[in-house]
Amino acid sequence: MKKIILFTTIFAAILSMGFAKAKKTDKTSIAVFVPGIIDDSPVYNMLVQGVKAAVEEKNQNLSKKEKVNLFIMEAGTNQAEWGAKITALCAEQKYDVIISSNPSLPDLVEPILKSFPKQKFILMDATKEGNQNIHTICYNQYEQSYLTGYIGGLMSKSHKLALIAAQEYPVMNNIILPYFEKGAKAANADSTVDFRIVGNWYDATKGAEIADAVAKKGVDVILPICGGASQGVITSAVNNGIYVTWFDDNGFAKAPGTIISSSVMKQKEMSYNVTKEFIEGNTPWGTAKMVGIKEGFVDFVQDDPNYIKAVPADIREKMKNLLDDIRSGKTEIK
Amino acid sequence: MNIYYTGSALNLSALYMIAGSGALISMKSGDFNLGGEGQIYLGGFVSAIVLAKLAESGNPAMSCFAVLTAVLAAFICTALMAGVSAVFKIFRNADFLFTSFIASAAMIPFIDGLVSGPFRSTTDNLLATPFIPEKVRLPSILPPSPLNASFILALAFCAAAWFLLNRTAWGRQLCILGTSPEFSRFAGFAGHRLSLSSALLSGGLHGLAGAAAIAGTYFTCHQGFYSGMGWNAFSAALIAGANPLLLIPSSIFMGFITTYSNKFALYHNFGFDISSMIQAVILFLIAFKPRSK
Repeated sequence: MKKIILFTTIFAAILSMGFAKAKKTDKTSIAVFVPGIIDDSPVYNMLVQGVKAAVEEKNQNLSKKEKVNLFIMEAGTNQAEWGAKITALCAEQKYDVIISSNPSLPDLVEPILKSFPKQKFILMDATKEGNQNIHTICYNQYEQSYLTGYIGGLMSKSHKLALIAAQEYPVMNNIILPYFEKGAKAANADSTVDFRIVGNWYDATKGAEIADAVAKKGVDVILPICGGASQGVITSAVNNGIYVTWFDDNGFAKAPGTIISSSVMKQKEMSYNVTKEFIEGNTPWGTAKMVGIKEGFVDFVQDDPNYIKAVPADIREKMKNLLDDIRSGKTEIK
Repeated sequence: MNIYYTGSALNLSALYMIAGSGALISMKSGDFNLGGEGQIYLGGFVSAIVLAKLAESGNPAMSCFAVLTAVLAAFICTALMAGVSAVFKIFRNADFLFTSFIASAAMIPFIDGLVSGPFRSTTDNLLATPFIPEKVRLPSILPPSPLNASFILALAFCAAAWFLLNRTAWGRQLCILGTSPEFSRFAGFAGHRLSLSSALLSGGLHGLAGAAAIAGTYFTCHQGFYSGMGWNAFSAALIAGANPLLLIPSSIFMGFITTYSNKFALYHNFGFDISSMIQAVILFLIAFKPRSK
């Protein structure tokens, strides 16, 4: 009997929670959907920081009633749950915009918009044009990949490079891999790129195993794009005395002397910009923007002491010249 | 009323009911099928591949064929997976509980590899198989929530499981085998055949839960979509005890617990394990038997 009463009480309490109705206030409300874990990913960390900075700036001189609401949802790494969690955010019907960053999101968001036609999305690191509810910004990964491949090609003594990816996806197959290879071959025509897959975004042990395997084959420069598994690649590279080129943020401090380059995207600045743009009502809905070195949102770190220490002066000079040429428009990576 | 969360909870309950029916049948035979996670994953994967491949053409007859083939393929593959454990039990006296768990643990990374490798969709950026066409998706019941026709099917499965166990000779013999194997041997029941058939049915029902998840909720086989589903269905079966009809309230209970503890964790920035902890505490309270005086 006690068990039945306990069971019923708990169940009733839970069921009652289902009847709580979300309240849409007149205030502007922004949700940040993090498709991963903030502490695991510099990209998501920058996303959150940028949105927070724009909201805090806006809220400075506003009364409590007028302040912009900000909610951050950390959705974890299980992609199967992302769709449900975005739908849950939309179902709250209190967020004027949901800001996020991941190439897979347009595919997930579009079907959800059929049920919530008023919901707006700003998606970074993604491309989707023509949907009036979505504005996307993607970083010029042609440039990022080419620069990374170019320095890899210059630094490699064996002319064997590797790209260790978490998974295959259109941007990886059509942009990052071919342009990494292109950059490496531009530095040295004999360069080859060994492409390997981890199969997920978190398995550091498998990342290390793959890095060990390619190192045994003579690879001496690796580009890891595999989230948490990248840590395993770095550990393996340190143990095998080979180099790592880094993507998306400044990674020199992770392994000084092993990491020889960092091609960064200015996600914090971009997320600040798009949030500010939205608050001011200037978001160009339905458009897809690409930003790169010229616009100042993709860069190659040249002033880090670890870069200066790890890379010889003549190679640094070549990198500087290439960057200057891209900035001036003399060289176009496409 | 928050339709979305109520619908989500009921949708999850439906999956627990289908898989829980399988877990319960296995329990009644005296075995514990701990391979639910892998079996759900396998059933989901197989049905996603079959539906995506066969339902590509616009032909309605082909769509019907695709659905039937997907359901059958999911059932047969997972039935065989559980059947292997039963065979080991019959011929090698291996512990069914252990072998079913090991088979599931081996199957999960294998399917992970297939999803991220040869069967991955090439048109989008997800670690998943291609999306199944809209015409073969289960109809929605409570939009925008994911609740779909699988809920009605799940209720039917629970009723069918009750009928099978309580109103057929096979069911009665299975219950006797589970309660007293020695007595069932003495009575001349075909114990090996009963063990094998219950394992096949248990595995198959887990596979059908996977197929229902694909056709009604996810529409693609995401890497790791099964996460927690098998264990929660098993918990629902444990709560239901001997009666498949009690699986309906126990699955609904587990569905609501899972959905709302996840919601709580999401909106209050708790760690992701909070939902499992809440479930564990509640299950402990339910399983706790006060000391008899």
